[in-house]
Amino acid sequence: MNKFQSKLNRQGTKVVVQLGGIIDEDADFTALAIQDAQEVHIDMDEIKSINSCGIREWIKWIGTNDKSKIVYSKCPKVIVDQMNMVDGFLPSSATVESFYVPYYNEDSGSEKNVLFRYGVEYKDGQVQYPAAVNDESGQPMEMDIIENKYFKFIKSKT
Amino acid sequence: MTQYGLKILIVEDDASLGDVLKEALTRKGHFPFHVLKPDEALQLLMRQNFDLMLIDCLLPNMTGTELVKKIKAEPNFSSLTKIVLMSGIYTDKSFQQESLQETGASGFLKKPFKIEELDIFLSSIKPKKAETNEQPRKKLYETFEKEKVSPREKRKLIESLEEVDGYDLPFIYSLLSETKSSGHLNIFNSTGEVSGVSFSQGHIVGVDVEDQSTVLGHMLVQSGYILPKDLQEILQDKSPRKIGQKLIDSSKLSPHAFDLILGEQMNVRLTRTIVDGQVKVNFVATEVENVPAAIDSEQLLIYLHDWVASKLPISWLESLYLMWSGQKILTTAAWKSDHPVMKTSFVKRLSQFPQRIEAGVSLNELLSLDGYDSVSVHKALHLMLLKGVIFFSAEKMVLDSIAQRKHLKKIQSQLQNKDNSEVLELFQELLKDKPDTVWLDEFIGFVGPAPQDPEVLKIWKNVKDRFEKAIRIHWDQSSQEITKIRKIEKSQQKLASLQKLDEVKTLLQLNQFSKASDLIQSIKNINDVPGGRLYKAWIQIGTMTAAKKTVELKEVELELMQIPPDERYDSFYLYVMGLYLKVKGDLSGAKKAFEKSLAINPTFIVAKREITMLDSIVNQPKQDIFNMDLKDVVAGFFKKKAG
Repeated sequence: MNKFQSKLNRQGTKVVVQLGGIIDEDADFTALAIQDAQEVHIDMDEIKSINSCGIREWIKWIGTNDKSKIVYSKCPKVIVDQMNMVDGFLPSSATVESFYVPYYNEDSGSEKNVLFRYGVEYKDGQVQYPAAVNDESGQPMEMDIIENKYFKFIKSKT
Repeated sequence: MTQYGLKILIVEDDASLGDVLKEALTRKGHFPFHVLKPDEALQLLMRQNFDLMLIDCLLPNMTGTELVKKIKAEPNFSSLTKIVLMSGIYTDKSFQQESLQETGASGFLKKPFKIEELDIFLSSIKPKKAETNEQPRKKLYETFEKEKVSPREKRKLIESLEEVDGYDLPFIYSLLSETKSSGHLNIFNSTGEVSGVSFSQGHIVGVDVEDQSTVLGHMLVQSGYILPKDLQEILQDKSPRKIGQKLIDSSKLSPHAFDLILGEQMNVRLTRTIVDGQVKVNFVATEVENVPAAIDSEQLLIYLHDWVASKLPISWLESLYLMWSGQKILTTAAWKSDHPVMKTSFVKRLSQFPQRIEAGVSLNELLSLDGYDSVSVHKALHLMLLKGVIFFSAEKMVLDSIAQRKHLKKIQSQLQNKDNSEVLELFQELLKDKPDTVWLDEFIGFVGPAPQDPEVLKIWKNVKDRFEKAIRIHWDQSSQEITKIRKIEKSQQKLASLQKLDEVKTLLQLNQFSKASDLIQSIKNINDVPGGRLYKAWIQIGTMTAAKKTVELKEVELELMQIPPDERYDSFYLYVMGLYLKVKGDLSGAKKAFEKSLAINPTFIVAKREITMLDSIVNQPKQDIFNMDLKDVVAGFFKKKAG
């Protein structure tokens, strides 16, 4: 099992937080003090899952800093789902620098997560789909999400 | 032309002309709506679609052509909508051609015109298909149709649901359990509360709710795993260990018993998630560790039975099953004559129920059988659907004249004494996710085509007219407004019901059963009010007569069975259970129940009084309680002691 992992790196007034593993009742956010930072950058590349306790802890933690610039990056699908569904998970002051979109090929069953970057694959209110996404054998893949739901957080930022 | 009338918007600033047109179109069986100003038309278009719009060219503040351009720019505007311009002033051909070109309208009518001149436009409108919008919720309930559901399919199904009803959650729990899922189901309700259920290979291993007060100590006492005095003793221990651990460490509780009660605690918490209202859900598939207290599929069936019995209102079930009422019920690969679901009381209560389903029958046909009441049929069927042993075929079964008559009569009685919004609410599952322009078509599909038999046709017309009326009123008001008003009314009604129920409770503690009975009868939807069934059972016991004892005891038993698990760990529930056991003749069981009730609430004076009375009865050797006249026994139980 992937237990919760976290790392905090202060760069002057900017704080970079790296999160990974499972965010659940055992996830301890108390060591991740972000309240005094002017900019908080949260890298979520290694997050594997989140449950309801984790969601509550997250909202409490992120709510400790409602004045600074908050940036979410490399958000996996489990995090994007919460951003779209739970009030306060993505505070209004926060921006999303990048997030993963699952792709799927029906014939081979292959799956792949494609990183969508702000300014490249999307910007406020708009998604610019990559021309083609192929699996390892060169087969075309389709987005494995319900678009109007998955990209809701982008549209709500207009 | 559609079979059942078109929805038409008339934008005409001449009120009398608009009314004449509206009346003429209504007589032709359509659903016209008349507005005087362009603004009103635009406002209406923000919330609903029309099949046809008749727009006058000269309107206040805006010309007809300007209005058409604005309408076409509306995001809600449907390209299927036809627009016809009308004018009594601009009648020259060049103007007509220019405005048609400019707006893309389908036609131009010179006023005055004969109503028949509209026929060319009316007949060219194709009927809208009812299935234009997918119904993710319906798809969810059809999951078990497939023999195997891949984790991806499951995830997609859950993702496709924007919101579900709190009452849909037992199905989602069962689906995740039966398909051996691992991961976390996160649930968000409208008040912002977050809860969650964790699954490991289909076993429920954790339930997280914001209100954690499941009073573990009370549950242990009530289940008989510890004595009340053990609990009091442990509560004095101020060490930081958890209550269960303290009891195990002091050898007052076995670890196995503790696991059992933890399972029961999860049941109470799961019950709390099943609410009357919309919830959002997402499922995070991940590996989750198993625990000894996990709820497996077999145990979950017991809880599902409890929830179907106690939490899911029959009105909700009837509404849910409307979408399949005419479809044949089919069995899945999981169907077995010895499947545990066949042994549940709802299924067993209906004679030959599994055999009838195996033979191929629709819900409408089941409901037309003698002895098959709506509550039992819907609840038995729902349990089977929850366990994935049945599904509904896509094809509708044609009802014979007798069955259609019964079906229509039932709908007629359901529509009786309902206001317009209640009528639409009754059919909400049938109409959900569908444009209101096809509601009538859906309804006709549900009740069946106009029957030949004049007597049945009369009932058919009656129910159709009632439904049509409700739609007209709906179109006259914004549906959002209606929902808002209904929500406020519902919460006000709930508050009033709770206040009345509090009075009932006070009266019952004073043994004033007749007054309590009058008051409880005045509470609308008493079975859906927390505590309602318990107090009903209490009144029934208090007013029980020797002559009807057997029948009335069964009724009480049924009421008690339908009390939700989260309402059972309460001193009043234990007290009423004690009364029930006492009347049934189980005096030692009754005494235990009163003692437990008192252990939970040491100031509960009526429980104390019962124990004293029971002791005095048991200590009177001359009175043979088991052979006494029941009337005397019952009188003895409720008689207040002098002094």
